[in-house]
Amino acid sequence: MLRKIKKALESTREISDWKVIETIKEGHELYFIRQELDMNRAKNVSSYNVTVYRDFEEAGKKFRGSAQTTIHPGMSEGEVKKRIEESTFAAGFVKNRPYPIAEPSEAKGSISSGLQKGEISDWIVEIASEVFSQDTKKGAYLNSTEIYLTKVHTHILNSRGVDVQFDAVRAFIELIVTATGEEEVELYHQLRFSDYRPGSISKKVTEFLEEALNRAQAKPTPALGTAPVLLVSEPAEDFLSYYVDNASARAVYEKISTFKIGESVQGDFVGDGITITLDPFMPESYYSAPYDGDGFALNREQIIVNGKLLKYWGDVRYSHYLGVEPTGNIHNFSVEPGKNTLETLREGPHLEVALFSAFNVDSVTGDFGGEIRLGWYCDGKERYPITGGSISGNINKVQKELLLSKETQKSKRYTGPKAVKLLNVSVSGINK
Amino acid sequence: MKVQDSAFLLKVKPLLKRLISELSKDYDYVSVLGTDVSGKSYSVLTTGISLSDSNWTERGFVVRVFNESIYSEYSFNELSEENFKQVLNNIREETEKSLRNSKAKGFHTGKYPCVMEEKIVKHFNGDVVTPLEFSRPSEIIEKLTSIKDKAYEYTDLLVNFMAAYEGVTVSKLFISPNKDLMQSYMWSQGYTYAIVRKESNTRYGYKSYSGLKGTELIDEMSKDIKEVVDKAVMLLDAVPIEPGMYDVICSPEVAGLIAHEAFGHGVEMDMFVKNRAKAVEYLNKPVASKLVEMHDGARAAEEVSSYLFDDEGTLGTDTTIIKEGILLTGISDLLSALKLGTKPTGNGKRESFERKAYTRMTNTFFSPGNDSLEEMIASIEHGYLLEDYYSGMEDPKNWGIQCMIAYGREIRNGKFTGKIVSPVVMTGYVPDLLQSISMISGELRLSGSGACGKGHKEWVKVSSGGPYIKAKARLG
Repeated sequence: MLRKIKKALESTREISDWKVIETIKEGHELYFIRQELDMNRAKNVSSYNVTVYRDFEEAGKKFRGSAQTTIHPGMSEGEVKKRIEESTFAAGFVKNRPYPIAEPSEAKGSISSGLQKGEISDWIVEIASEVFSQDTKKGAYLNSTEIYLTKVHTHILNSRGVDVQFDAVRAFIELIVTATGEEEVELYHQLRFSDYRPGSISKKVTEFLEEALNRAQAKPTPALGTAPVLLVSEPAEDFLSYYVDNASARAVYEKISTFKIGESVQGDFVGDGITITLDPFMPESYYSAPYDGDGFALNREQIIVNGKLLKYWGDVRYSHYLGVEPTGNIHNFSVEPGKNTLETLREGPHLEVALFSAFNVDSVTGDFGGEIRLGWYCDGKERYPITGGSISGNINKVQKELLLSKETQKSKRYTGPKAVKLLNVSVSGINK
Repeated sequence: MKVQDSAFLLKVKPLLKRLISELSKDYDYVSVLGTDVSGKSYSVLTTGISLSDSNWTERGFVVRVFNESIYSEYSFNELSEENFKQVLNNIREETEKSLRNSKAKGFHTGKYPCVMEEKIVKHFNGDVVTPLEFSRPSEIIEKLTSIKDKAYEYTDLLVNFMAAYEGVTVSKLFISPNKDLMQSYMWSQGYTYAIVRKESNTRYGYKSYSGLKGTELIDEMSKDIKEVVDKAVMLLDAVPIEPGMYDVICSPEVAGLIAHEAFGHGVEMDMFVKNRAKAVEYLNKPVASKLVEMHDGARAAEEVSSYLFDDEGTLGTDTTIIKEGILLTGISDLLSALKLGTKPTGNGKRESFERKAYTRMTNTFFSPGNDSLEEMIASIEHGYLLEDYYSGMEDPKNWGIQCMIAYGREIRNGKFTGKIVSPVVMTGYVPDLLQSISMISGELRLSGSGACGKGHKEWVKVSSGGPYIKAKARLG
């Protein structure tokens, strides 16, 4: 199929540049209700994502248009040619400022996974066994579990000579954990990873079961008005991702972000300064890759140091628009831990939230908030689990005094502080 | 104009029938869903234009077989005379591998009965005014550009504006020994989105459009440009809400979000099978005020999730979920219905041929009532009219609800004060919220832009809506 596509691209006169991403996926999926296998699925699919670039001039002004299309396996030579010609024609109306595409470059690192060795239909059952190995707790159990394991082969080519390939294994587990208290409660969890470290899944499952038991004992969130709030686990990662989103060349070019190189991204802060590094090779990360979607070789990039923006990150196009060196699109980030231990951050009355129904962080406005599924309230003396109600706030208003924990965590695309402490966050609770 | 069937699916149909026939020798039940979904997505921003295939584009097949006591599936996207035998072998081998390994590890398997189907042959072709292929790319881009340019006539505070259109043609084929179904229809969605900034304060307003429509949808989008810009500018002066319980009026869009999150997800019957739905305890019991009637179904309304048959070959229906405040029934996919001994409602949907089918909503809405919006506003001493939303999240087991609302207009003594609060997180216990519904307006508005996930994945098209409803809610 690649040969057919390249032939069609090279024979279409109006095309100035092109890019093709071939993706081949081989996957197995297991679906459990309690510990009983409810369904098994397998897949074997491939796709070809083609972008054509067309340079043109109108009234003395130069433009580069582009159009992306999907070529399906099994399409005839004629069908491929027709689709590419239609896209090329359409690209002639897309009036964008000119920009280059990626040039060939050597990989700066690699990704590897033990899951590459052997059959994924064997690995997936190994993983399932580990998931259920800890499902023995009294009062809490795995209600339903879905496990997906997919081998992904990616091949990126372009008209400038980029021709790179890499393999990855993407593992995804969805777990619904139920616990019994006054009534049954449940919590939703996801795990994403690209390498398998025996013992790591069972450790997580144990934590999840414990959290469900906590929710089963939880009291309604008190109506606090405003309170110091500790975001722990995934909400801490989601909160800090605001700074990554706003450091992107695309967000700046599109005027969504106002971040400026050399300036503070936290205003005049008195709390912890944030230091962020993007790491395309983060071990076990679901999103690790040696190249971005343009075939641009990725490297580790420090973008924010002690609250000050060092550089924008972005693909070739938007970096060119801003006149900065491209870093490529990198999806993993690590944040330097803070100076205070979790124990210190937990001093005094506060609300700690580990799980929301969905924690929303709006990277345009800085608004954040969500309904609390599991947290803990400490009145300065007693600490007890809470559920219900919500928190809300705006990052621009709370970042001045934010504190990061010394303890760290690792997730699908993040390593960094396990907790972020914020002051004066609005808390909508249920009773006084 | 009639939406045309996929030539690809029609061409491959004899091979699919052969596949069914071959596999039927080994399995008591076999079905195949073939999909050919194509579309284009156009975005015109102040800072650039993008044109790509729709993210909903897919072309492939999923075979389902009854594998002793459970169902196994295999997804693939290449089928020809040349690879027919290879595909057949892959289906047999790949569906066996993980099942065999699981049993060897000591896992037990579920117990489902075999699907019993009556003979059905049906074909459906939707109608639109202007199919996507009848509109030139230049024409679509010009119209969207003109919408974007017009926005700048209304304020100097705009830092970016987006006008986006997506048109998708869905063609699906379902074949089993007793069923031969084909459908082709088109839906479209559009957005206008204004970002404004005053000093360091950035806010945005949006409006979305959707329907079983072609590119004629873009003309609808050009009518509300000022409204979207004004909304964004208005939000620059919004203040945080004082957390608490309030009388609220929910716009049809917010009412739809409540219907969707509160009871739509809560009555998905695959949740009944997993004992994840509190709704089971409330069947035939009151869950809402007597004013409330709620529906879901591919045949219940004409919106983006209206179809002849679902992704498991079950014909679409209109399910009355709540009537006069009583929870009557849930909605169901085929396998959950088999397990529960109930009738499937045509709600088995997949994100694509690559994914599993689950019970999913289609068009979910509260039925209209007899009150007017003016009467509802006049009845409020202190509360808010809630409009637009960013997202929602379900909690089927514990009936919590989270709705991220864009903004609320304050009402005091039956009149708007001009004060705007934003954003607003609406939370609460679903029956409390639904029991508190005290007034319902006469209009019905559905909207089907965006996508609905199950948990945090499996995105499918749905629509939701309703009339204006007055209720009591916790806002923060």
